[in-house]
Amino acid sequence: MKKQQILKGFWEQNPIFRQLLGMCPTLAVTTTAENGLAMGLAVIFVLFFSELAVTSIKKIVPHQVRIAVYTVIIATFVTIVDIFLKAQFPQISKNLGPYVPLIIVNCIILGRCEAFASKNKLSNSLLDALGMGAGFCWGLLVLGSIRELLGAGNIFGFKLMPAGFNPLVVMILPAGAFLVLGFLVALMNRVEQWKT
Amino acid sequence: MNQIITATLAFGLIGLAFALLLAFLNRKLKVPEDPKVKEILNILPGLNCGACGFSSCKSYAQNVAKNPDKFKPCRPGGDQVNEKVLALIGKKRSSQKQEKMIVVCRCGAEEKDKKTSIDYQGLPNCQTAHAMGGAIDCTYGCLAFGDCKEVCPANAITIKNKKVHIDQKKCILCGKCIEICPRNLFKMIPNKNLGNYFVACQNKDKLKEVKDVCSRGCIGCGLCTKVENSPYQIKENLSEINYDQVQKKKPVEEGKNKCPTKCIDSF
Repeated sequence: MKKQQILKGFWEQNPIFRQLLGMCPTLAVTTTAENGLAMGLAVIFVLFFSELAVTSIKKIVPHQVRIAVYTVIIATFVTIVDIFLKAQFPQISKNLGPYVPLIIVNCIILGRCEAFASKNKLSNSLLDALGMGAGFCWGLLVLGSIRELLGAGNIFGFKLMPAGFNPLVVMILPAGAFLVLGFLVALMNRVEQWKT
Repeated sequence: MNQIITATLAFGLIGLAFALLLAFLNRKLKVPEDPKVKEILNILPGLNCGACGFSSCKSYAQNVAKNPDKFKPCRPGGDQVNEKVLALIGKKRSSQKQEKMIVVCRCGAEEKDKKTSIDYQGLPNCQTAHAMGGAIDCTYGCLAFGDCKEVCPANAITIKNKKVHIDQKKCILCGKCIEICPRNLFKMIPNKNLGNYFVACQNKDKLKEVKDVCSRGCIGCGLCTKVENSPYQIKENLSEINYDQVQKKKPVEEGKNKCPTKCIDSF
């Protein structure tokens, strides 16, 4: 049971490629691999602690105000990430811009709190958070790497393409995000078909 | 009632706990800001007009405080503001004084002058009307939907009888109207305190075509160039003032009076 709990978010129910949740940061910040990874790690942190908080207070929160309480909890951890990035990694904070505060309304986090953490016990909730977070993170990392490679010719700032390579600027524009995401989702579907 | 009390209590306590956590972390992870930024920001006009190339007065202040060497004057602020900012960042004012400029709209035609055979029913803004081919017959003249009026941060532009009027006392020279006008009618000209004459027409067509669409258009007749020491010259069927040659008021004014279509205006 436990192993499946973690793997579920990583592959079978991957937030980006299978559930298609949290599209706003997915499409907006994955212009480089670095930005994608930073956003992914931020989401893992917020998801982990939000599910921890939600699952530990699920008995004392009345049903009627639960969504408001979840929002307060998520907003708190997002604010922590935001001020932490500003203090420690100002450049990344600048690159991600308004998308860090926007994690508050990211549907993966609210979705997992409502659908999973509020109904399951602590250990399972934490595993779920790690799985979903890791799934989201690798999705962003792959998306960011492909876009950076095709749009600028490098990954994490290292030049990988040969000198004669002409960068496809469209890849680091919003249209490129949709293109890459579409192809990756198609690829995932194909892989699933082969499995069965 | 009981439910309300538990909900309020639970929500309140959780909110309080998280607020305390955030307050603590905010203290711990505070990013010190250069106090100069705030001082500069207080001096600036605070219009966020964008004339300096930065998106807001705040980002201008941050950049000036960070790189005093790359100081660029704040145009709307004028000499007074710039001197204060320079004193704050410990730099001497550059020797060259900013040349005084004014912005003019180079279409002087009013509603009765502009011929309109088109019944334009599209969106009421200049950008669209221009893209659709225009709401007036003249393809160079002012469409008078007021995109410039909308964009002006100082409310210096008014439109009367479909003609643009610029209040030079209010104008802060930010240049936003120059950017937005789809017909490129606005221009900055040097303010020489000699009446500030300018040719209020941009129609580059020949006499008959101009006459067909507007009664105040420049027909390129060249009468203004015939006066003594005339600063006027005809380029592409359009009269133009060479401001470097303007030393006295007399030749400019004579040229204006000679104009048969009264398309030379002044401030």
